[in-house]
Amino acid sequence: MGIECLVLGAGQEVGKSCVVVSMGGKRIMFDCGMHMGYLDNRRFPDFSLISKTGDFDAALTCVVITHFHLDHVGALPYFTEVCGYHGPIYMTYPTKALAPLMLEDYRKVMVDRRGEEEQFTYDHIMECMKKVTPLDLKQTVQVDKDLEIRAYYAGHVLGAAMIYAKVGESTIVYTGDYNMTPDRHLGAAHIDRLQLDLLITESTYATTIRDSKYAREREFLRAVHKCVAGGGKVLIPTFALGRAQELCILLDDYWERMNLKVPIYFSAGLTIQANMYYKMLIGWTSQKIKDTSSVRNTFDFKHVCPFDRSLINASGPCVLFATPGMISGGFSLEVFKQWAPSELNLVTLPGYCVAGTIGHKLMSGKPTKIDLDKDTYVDVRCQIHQLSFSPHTDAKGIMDLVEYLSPKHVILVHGERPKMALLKERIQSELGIQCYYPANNEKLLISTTQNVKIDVTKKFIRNCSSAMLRNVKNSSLSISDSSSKYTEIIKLAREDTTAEGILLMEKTKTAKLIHENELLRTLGVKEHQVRFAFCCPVEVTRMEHLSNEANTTHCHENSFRKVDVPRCLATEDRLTTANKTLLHILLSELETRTECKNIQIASESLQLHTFHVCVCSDEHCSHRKKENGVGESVVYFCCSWSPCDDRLARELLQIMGRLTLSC
Amino acid sequence: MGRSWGLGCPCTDIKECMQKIQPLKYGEETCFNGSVIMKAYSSGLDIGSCNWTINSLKRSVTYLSSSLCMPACWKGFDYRSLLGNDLVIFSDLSSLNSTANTCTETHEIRNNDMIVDNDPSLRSASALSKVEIPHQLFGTDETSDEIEKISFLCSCIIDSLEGGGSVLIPVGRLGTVLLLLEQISDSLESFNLKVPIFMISPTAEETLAFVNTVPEWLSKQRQQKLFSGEALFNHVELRKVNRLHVFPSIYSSELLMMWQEPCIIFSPHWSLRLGPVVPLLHRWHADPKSLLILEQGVNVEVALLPFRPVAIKVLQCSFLSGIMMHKVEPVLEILHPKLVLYPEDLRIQDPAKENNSWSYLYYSENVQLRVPSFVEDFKACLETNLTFQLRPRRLTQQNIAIARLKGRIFLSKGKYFLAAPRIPMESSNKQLLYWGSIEPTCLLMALQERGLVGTIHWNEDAANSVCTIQITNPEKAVIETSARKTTISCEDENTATLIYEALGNLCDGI
Repeated sequence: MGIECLVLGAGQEVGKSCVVVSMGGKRIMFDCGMHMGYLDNRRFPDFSLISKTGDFDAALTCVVITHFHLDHVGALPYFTEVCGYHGPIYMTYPTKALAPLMLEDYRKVMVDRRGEEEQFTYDHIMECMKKVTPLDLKQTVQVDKDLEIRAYYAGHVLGAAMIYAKVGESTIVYTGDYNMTPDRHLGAAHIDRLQLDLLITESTYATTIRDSKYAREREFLRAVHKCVAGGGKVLIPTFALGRAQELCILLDDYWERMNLKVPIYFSAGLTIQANMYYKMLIGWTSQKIKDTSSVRNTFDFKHVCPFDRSLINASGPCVLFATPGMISGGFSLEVFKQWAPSELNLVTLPGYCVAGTIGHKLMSGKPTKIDLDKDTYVDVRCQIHQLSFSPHTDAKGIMDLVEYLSPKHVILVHGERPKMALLKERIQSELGIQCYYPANNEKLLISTTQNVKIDVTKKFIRNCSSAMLRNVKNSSLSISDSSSKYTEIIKLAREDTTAEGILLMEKTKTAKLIHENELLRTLGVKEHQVRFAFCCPVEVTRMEHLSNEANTTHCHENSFRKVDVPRCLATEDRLTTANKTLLHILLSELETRTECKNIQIASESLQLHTFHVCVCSDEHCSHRKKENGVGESVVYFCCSWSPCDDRLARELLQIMGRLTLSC
Repeated sequence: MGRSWGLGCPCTDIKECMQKIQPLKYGEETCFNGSVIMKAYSSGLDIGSCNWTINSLKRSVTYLSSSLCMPACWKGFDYRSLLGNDLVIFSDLSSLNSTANTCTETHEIRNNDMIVDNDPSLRSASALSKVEIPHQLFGTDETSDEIEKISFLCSCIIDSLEGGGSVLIPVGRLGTVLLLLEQISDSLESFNLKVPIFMISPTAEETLAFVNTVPEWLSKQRQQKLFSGEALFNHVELRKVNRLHVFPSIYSSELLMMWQEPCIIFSPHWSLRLGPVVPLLHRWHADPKSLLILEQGVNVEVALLPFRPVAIKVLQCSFLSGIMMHKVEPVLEILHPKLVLYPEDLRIQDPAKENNSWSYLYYSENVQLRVPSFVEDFKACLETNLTFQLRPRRLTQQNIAIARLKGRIFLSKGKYFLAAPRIPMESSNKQLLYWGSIEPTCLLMALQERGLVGTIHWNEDAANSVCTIQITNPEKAVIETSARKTTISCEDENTATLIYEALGNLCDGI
């Protein structure tokens, strides 16, 4: 049994995430992204590697999309409508709501602005989205009889999810992109402590440790405030979803605190609509925003209003959010042309801009003139501020997640090759977990171990469970505690509770684990008891006042008998009293010499586990060594034990052989 | 309303209580004690209402509460996720409330003419009473019935408004309120009536905001609105265009400023004893033009006692609130349990047939019931690392191999796991349990093979025929063996071990 991983995208690179995982006869495609850096056939994953014949319905069990970014969902309409995949597709509610906006926006940019041949149409997007089954977080979804999937909160963007998939005993998690620290509108990634064979994780920041984002937020706010205070205009080119809302919350909040009256505008259309989606999907934002939503929905921004084209050249300061993010065209470019020539104004740039965009040109050095085409150029005198917020986890976050989940294997995707190599080394050396970072179109086979299913009898469980329950009870936790504490219960329940039993393996039947006491009855046989015995002589020094006289006489008169044999009461009483005294003396001697406090004293014997000692008065006792004559100063202790305690018994016998009891 | 609640149950208590609740999504697994796994699936009755599957090590149980197949607002009855459990606890008591009219189905709109003094203006609803529903489980019949009822209600409301009367709708189930709100506003629009709709409740603002942010809990049709970028409920739009006004209390000054009659008011409480409905009823109870809409389950006569004389029109309607009696059997057929726990109170109507593949047990309030278990043994997972440590021994007489197993046992997610101990345990070859008997001559031979010399002494006269083997060389030892017991007596440890080994080879053991 094993898990086969075919990396179709985001192998040793960032872009077109797509991993096909086969396990237990099921085949799942995680993400179906496009590469924004290529315009040729490298833009999409090479789907022919999934099925030579193109019969994707037979080749795949389902497709799961982690979030609405184009490098994770961009190729989906192409895959379903052009390649002809008709099987089930899963994504979270927000992703299903927002992905079509992203796809359509991209399609328009490609076709309308660059005049390219389109890879898919608007109808393709709509048809594709109709086939999507929405997922809620933590909901266990049975894709078919054998495959179940579950989404966990990933932070990153609204609706981003890590996906857990299970077939039989094989389990994996595919993280998609995630953020281990909360930001203003999203919580941190959250996942149960699952038992995993494989974790496939993003590694965008495989080696970076990020400092606090508060410093960078302050820096951004200061730059914006300084600009508007000086009467300038701030242009924030951004993609409609994600960063736009994050920055809006940041500014809206700051405006409120600083009592600023300068208008904040949203360029019409997409972003306003996006805010409406965000309001309906508030359940997917951070706890703080959810908690206050009944009073005021955070996405009902107080200071943000829609922008009108006529305002571009209006006088006075303002802040404007405009799409697209890298000033590759569209409205943000239009505004940029107008505002860039004034040194009063400010343009912010996202953390990453694709080569060829104006954003990219502005980032590389500080140009004073940017050529738009052969004939037109823009004088750039405005200030430039580069944002460095990232919704990706840093190296520490990746290490934390890997350690927390402690999977048997880790695959790194969505990162840069040299950094991935370093992270792989860290995961292997620091966490001792096998780690790989395959390149695109590489296939990886991961071996998994298979547990054996057995039956266990009630009696066996009863014997173990008392110990287990004690563990759980001691923890004094109940179901009402938060889920994090709940994992503690599991941990406690996982504490070593030793189980001992006998496994019965019969041909063609499920193996059955039974308690030792059940074996004989199950097999229909009678026990044959095997015991070791030795009648051990011990030196005795007699004190005068004791009734040993009587004891020895009686010993001679009555051969050793078992307790349950009836005899004269008076004799027995005296006998037992004397024997008891001897046993007590032996006990105290043994206790001091062995430092063992577990020796039990029963009516006529000492017991330690199966080791039994009683005073022996049978001079013909078959367990005595014959050459030892019965001396006055010797008392015999008849010992017997089960083979399992042989070592213990031999040690006790040695001690007894060296003893001198004083009575 | 706030006051009486405040006295009985302070707000802090409610908050504290709510903090102890672990919220779950539909289909989310929760595990108690590592051994009981519970999952909730939508039942369709109201927002978040659910049926449960409870799987313990011994039992698999479906707890079936009042369920609706195709509710207008919420996620419907998710029966597919309840399949395959041994036991169904049937606790949909909705048909208890309608025992009187089970023959004509539970829902019908009837006018309470005995209370409204035979008001001839009230439309008879008898035409709407159910005749026969085709025997299908999840058809559209229920939905179309509900729609029919709602549209009848709307026409009554329009009639009242056109006649200059106001309409008072005491708030019951949230789903009904939201549905009525949508349907009524549509009707107003189509009749081009400019009548304000007021919603007066301290929780209305929050509730309306809330239902518009929970697409995951709504019906497919509502979810579609999210995906096409519309608000989930039209009250968002109604408020924008000032057709719906929401106020926390009837005494808000803004409400007084805006007040106009006729109007439509949604307000608590359906008992007619609490909330803004009380003053409003005092205002309208004697107005024959006005209309009061009540859900079934309220005793109209009693409810209206404080407001006598009553001239206001009263329309009482029942909306589906559970599985209809004749659909119980088909539902159970789908769930395919082995045993059904069924309420004793519904027994007379119990549609049990003889050919059912399941049996019934009847429960009643405060009576303990013993339910048989269907499980003999527990299931467990034997982890591979432990499997490798096993040393199976084939038994002579049967086709069985046995092995001693020593490891850790733990419960996780409702399953037992057996794993290798964290610290490797001392494994010994020594057998600890024997069965069968020993043939002394064979034992003597086996001992001789190991270099031990001895003689057999038969002791036939003893009751259980003990046989003694005296070992003389190299060390002295005595072995007493009978049918059920063997005792090895030897001071020398090595010799004892040799004897024990010889014994182990002759006798089945583990």
